Amino acid sequence: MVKIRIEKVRYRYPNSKIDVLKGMSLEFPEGKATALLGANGSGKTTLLKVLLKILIPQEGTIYVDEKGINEFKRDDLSRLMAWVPQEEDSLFPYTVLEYLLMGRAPHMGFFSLPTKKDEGIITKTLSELGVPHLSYREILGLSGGEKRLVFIARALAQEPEVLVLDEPTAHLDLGNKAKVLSIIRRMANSGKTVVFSTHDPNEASLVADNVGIINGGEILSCGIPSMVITEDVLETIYRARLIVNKVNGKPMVELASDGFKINQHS
Amino acid sequence: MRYNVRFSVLAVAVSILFMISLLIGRYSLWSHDLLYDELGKNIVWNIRLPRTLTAVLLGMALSVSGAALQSAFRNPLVGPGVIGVNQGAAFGAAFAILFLSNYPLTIEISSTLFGLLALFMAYAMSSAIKYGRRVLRLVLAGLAVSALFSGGVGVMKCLADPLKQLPELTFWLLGGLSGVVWRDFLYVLPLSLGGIIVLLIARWRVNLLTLEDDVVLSLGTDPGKLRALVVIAAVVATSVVTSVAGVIGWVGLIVPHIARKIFGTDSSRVILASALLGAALMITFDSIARTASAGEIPLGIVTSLLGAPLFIFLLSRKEMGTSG
Repeated sequence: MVKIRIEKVRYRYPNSKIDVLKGMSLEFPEGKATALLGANGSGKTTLLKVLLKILIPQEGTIYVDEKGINEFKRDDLSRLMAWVPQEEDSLFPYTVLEYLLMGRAPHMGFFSLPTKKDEGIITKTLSELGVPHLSYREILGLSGGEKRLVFIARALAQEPEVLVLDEPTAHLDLGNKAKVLSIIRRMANSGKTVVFSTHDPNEASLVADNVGIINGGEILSCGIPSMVITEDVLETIYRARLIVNKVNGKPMVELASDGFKINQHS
Repeated sequence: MRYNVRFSVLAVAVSILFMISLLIGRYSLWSHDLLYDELGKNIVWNIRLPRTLTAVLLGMALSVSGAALQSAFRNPLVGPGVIGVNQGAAFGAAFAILFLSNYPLTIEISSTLFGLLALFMAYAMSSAIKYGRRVLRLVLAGLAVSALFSGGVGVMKCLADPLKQLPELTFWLLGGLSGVVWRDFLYVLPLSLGGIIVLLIARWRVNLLTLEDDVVLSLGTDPGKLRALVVIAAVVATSVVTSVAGVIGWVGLIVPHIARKIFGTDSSRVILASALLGAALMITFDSIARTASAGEIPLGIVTSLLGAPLFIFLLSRKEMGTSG
């Protein structure tokens, strides 16, 4: 099991005058699901990319099991951590099997071809996600929900210890949302460290062991969902009046009937 | 039909076409017994064999490069011509013919250097363009570089001696393999084959370049370095064969599409199939170029005349192979 810790991370995009991450410190415990909850544009995706060494912060460090991320070679890191982006342009009509085999790249030599063993891992992954029938479908013909499952399957094909997902339920219907959230929970239960971003507090509450609240590139608070998902915090990050109810001990959030008024005047 | 069977059929087809191309021509050897025909032996060994081998190399280099570049630039309509390499290499060869010497090695080196220069110019210009995403910017810059070198070739034509240099330059620019001898083939063999081999052994990893760069990074591969390897191998292979054959259009664009129709999208199959299909197509086109009329038709004209309709035919068919 792998623990990740970020310390005073500051990141600014090239040619920008604003820091997107303003000295963030946060811990992602091993074998737990941590949600990064924040409004659109709060810096969630940037933080995830920094975690994966896709972006290099100007200040601060990321520790993977107390070892600085810069000490890891990129291919070593890709066997440890896998990334599920929110959207992905697929321009070429790969079959799902061909597409998922790319997830085996970290385990292959630079000039090698995939083996039967790699194909077996893909088949097993698709079965575990309940979609073995997708193997020979073309990626371009899949529905939004099927595509999201395929992206998750590619990350799982990397056999990582840490799974990083950027808004994994964005644009999905409720059925597909439930499917993706249950996969996240299952991964954490199986001992993987899961980090996912969301702007929906109910998703964070339902699935995450820990929630980091991000506001304007800073960590506003961090802890178990029932501690950090409060009306005050939500009003600060969403600038809307929200009501927090407890359902089975978990905070569930709904928009207050007069919540629109604050929004209009803010 | 399983892919292995398709590859075998294709390899047999290339071998048969190769043998046929050695036998046909103005001096037909169909009914001759080569063991007793000294003239026939001489023609096959000294004229047709080096020419056909060069056609194989040319077809492979253009097609494999086209397939790899389409993945590298995530654009199924990219070929060596689109990023300025063909025109850069053409300018380099014209420059050598006019100002250096028309010694094949000089033309090859000049052609390769200008092909690479065109690529670097396209890269440099693409960072200055403030429109579109990175790959689109590179394609736009490639168009500008192409136009620039095309203009340069025009200037070379104006400067050329109309009696000595201009006919040679014009015929070379139209593209063709007439007059190719063993020396030409052996000069272009190492570098173009080197480029082809690099692309063939990296052919599966080329798939990764069709993904977004962030995803490629998360899969443990540096997309910038992989793209550079692929592009440089493709440019070297293309420029070197251009130095001996002139500007041959369409093949690098069409062959990868035919390969995708038969072998699917996986670049490990598409690049390998492009090598075989490119060889088959170029042997066929060159055989037509030298046998269709009393005189030799420049190969570049044959590839354009047959390639353009074939391209439209492929585009008009459903499931073209890519959606882009």
